[in-house]
Amino acid sequence: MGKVKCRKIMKLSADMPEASFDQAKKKLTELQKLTTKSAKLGEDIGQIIAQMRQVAAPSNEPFIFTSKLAENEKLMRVVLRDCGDIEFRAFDAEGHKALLIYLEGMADSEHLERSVLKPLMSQTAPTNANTTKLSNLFTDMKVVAEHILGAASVTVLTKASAAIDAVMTGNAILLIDGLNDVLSIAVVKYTKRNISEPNNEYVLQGPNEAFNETMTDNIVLIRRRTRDTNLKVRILQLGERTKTSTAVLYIANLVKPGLVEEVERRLGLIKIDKILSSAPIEEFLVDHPWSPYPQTQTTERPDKVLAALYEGRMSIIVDGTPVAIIVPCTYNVLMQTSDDYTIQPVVAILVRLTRNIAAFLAIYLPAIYVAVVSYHPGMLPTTMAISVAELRARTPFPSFLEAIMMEVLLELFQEAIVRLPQKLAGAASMIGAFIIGTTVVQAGLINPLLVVVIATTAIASYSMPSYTFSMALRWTRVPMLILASILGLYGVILGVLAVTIHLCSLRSFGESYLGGMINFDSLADWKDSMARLPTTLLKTRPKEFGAQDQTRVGDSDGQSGS
Amino acid sequence: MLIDMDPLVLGKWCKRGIGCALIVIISICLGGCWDREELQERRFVLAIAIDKAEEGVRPDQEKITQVENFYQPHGNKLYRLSLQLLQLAPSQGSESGQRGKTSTSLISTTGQSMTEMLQDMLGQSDKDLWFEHVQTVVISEEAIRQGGLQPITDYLLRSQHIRWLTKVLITSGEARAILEYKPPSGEPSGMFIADSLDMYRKNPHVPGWHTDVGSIAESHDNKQRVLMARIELADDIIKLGGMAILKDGKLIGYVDEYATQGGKFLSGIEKSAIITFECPDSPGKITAFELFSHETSLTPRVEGDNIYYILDIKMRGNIGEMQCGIEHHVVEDHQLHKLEELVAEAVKKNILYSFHTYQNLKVDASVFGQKLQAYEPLMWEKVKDRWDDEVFPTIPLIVSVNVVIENVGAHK
Repeated sequence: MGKVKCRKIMKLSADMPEASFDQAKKKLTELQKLTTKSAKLGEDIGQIIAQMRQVAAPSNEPFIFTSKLAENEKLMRVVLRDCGDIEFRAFDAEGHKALLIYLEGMADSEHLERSVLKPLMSQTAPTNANTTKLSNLFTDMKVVAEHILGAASVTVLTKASAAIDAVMTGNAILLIDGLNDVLSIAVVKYTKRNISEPNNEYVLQGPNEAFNETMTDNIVLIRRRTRDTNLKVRILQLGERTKTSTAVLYIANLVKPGLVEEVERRLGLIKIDKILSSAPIEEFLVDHPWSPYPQTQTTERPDKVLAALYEGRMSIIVDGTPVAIIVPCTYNVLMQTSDDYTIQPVVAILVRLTRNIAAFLAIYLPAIYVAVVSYHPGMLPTTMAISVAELRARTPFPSFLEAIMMEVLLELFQEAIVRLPQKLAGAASMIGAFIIGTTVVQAGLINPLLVVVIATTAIASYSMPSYTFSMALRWTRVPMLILASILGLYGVILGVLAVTIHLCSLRSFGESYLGGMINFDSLADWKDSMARLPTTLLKTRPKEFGAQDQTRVGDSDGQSGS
Repeated sequence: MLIDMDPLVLGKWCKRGIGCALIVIISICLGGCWDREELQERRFVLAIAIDKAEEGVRPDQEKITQVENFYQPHGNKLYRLSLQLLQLAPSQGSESGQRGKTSTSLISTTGQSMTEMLQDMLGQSDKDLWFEHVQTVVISEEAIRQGGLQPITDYLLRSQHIRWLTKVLITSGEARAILEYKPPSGEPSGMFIADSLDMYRKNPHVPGWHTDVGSIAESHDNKQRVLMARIELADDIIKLGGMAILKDGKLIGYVDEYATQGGKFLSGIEKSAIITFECPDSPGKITAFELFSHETSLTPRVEGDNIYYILDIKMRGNIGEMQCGIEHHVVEDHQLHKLEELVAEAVKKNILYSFHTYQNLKVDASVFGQKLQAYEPLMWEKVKDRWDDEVFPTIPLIVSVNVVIENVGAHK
């Protein structure tokens, strides 16, 4: 009896089925379904209305403009519904109703007032002598543009999709009652970053302007440095939803034949909804996306882009990214910096040599250490072997574990400093310096020689001109370490072979990544790769990029000084 | 993600991945890790000493010799093998920055087979013995006299670890005592001796050019004489000088410092040397010529059945010391020529001294035989079987020395 009573108290739904939790849940989902359905219905109705409105519109157009302003406005409003930042400005121009549509914040409203609204609305003023004559001008958009508007760049559009694109890029479009064309007025103006100094590629003596996020500004930075009409700029739109502008730059009479077509073909193959930075484009462009080595050169310096263009290479600038992509890219170009050309050639040769050695050390030094200490201590001079053994006498771990521990510490450390806000990074590096520099050694976990080795490696990888390349070196280091710990120097040599073969077989738009350096046909390229001769001797362009004209002075088509 | 990829690309990747994995796995299976031994897990052997079994044992050390021993199924207790081991002291953190002081210890055992003795010696060590950094091997005269050189050096030549440049020395006393010597610098005596012998280009009193394991192997294979640097210990004074000549594994005799220097002039390998002679005007006083550089050519000549050698030496150097008294400025040409002639005479005397020493020992300790083989192969074929015993002791050597004294003038 007690049990039954208890049950009654505990479950209300036993008496009232409609109060059960399941029931409530069911009802709620039903309600949710209903609301979504009704929202869908609303949208469908909107679409049906739009479809009914569109009179024989082609399949890729949302609608076609009619000559009735009210209808056009309705169609535009349907397409741009729920976009609160779109401004519809209706006004009266000489008895004709007119409508200006623009994106608030992206279009220069002052400019619109001055060059569009004022001239059009003043046509109604009786003081104007040519009123009657001018009122006849409202028969054709082209005439309106030519005679009334004071804006610099005006285009007549007939297609609705183009008009919508124009609005979304920040232009204003003008619709006038009685005309089935629209006018796009270029009044784009939005807040953007100023041209500033490069963050990552600062040069001691030389130009220090860097790209910003606006593609047009970036192109201007390059254009301003040359008056060459052969510098061609092709603008494409990538990203099916974002429609990001992307510029392809090249020097028409220098670029390797076929390169432009190949780059444009690869860009055309990009099927993606959004392009927010240039990085995904790089990944679409390269042949080997799984390789850790960067196969496109990136720079934030316009002078570097121009230098590359005059070597017969190409550049891609993506709107919204302060970095230009340069292709083809080889090991050589990643090892060059703008500073090499501002210091004395003799010094530059030494600096470049150091950089190449640093690249080698950054990959192989810890591996060589582990191999020598664990497998071949007989290779060391006796006194050094003894002092290394003394240093290692206190450490309990095999050298491989020790090296891996140190690598992990280093990676943690680098990652922390990159992620932290700048104010904290200093504190983090202090802690890191204490931990790695002294405490770990004092604790007997890691011997001081290994600290020297790993620190040398880290510094060597920091000295790379390209950050992506130094990341690749960091990546390669770990497999080398493992090979060394399994097979000793034999493993290191296997690793050297594997890395060399990989780098030689890696192709960037047909150019071998490392092969150009050890190719006897292009040995002349060493003048500006391994070495850096004085500029007076750099009379020919690098062979490896296959520029149409190899001599740097004059041009084959008679134009000199370009 | 993978589904979206082109099946061709995936296939290519799979193949490459499998290929790489196979290379790594196969090489690991074939060669991986088998000789991995951390540096601190190895016990450095810095020097080896080989004595006759009971050499230098005092009666109060009976007990010790019983312990430094093992049961041996074959052979006799012929040799005592001693190893100098490096004892690592861990460095004290990084703050002090000072290295721990290296100390060494000595372990010995007796037996006949070197490898068997080494195996037994593991019982006196906590870590694996490691021979790649052996610096010196000291062999006692008694041990060589007992059974010849071959049984002693065979292990040195066969071992994969002992390097060809390891120095081999001979001592007339006890070899172990030399390893017990403590150099004032605190470094192990094995390294001290090797470093000292390494100065052979500056020190004409030690041989050094043909006294390492590799040369012994070479001489052994060519059935030629073997040279060994001589080291002697008295109390706590150690001295390198002179050399021993061995032939067919037997010790033929010791050669003094003067003959060693002459031998080096013969083969032209010294870089600097001091050549002394009596002052021309004041007898009993010494002038020393300092050798800078020289050109030496030794050529065999054959006339009928007669063999003779011409040694042509050009030397350049300066006056290093002149105890003659007042006349220390040598600027006059005739004075210089006189001095040069005296130096040449002294060099000639030195060379002939060592040449006659070799002839008396009936052993071609220099390169006479090789020169004959190279220049007159037909003659060599005729005489090679009786070269050392009959031919070499009788052949004449014509020495012509041309000396130029440079840097003349006032001293500083």
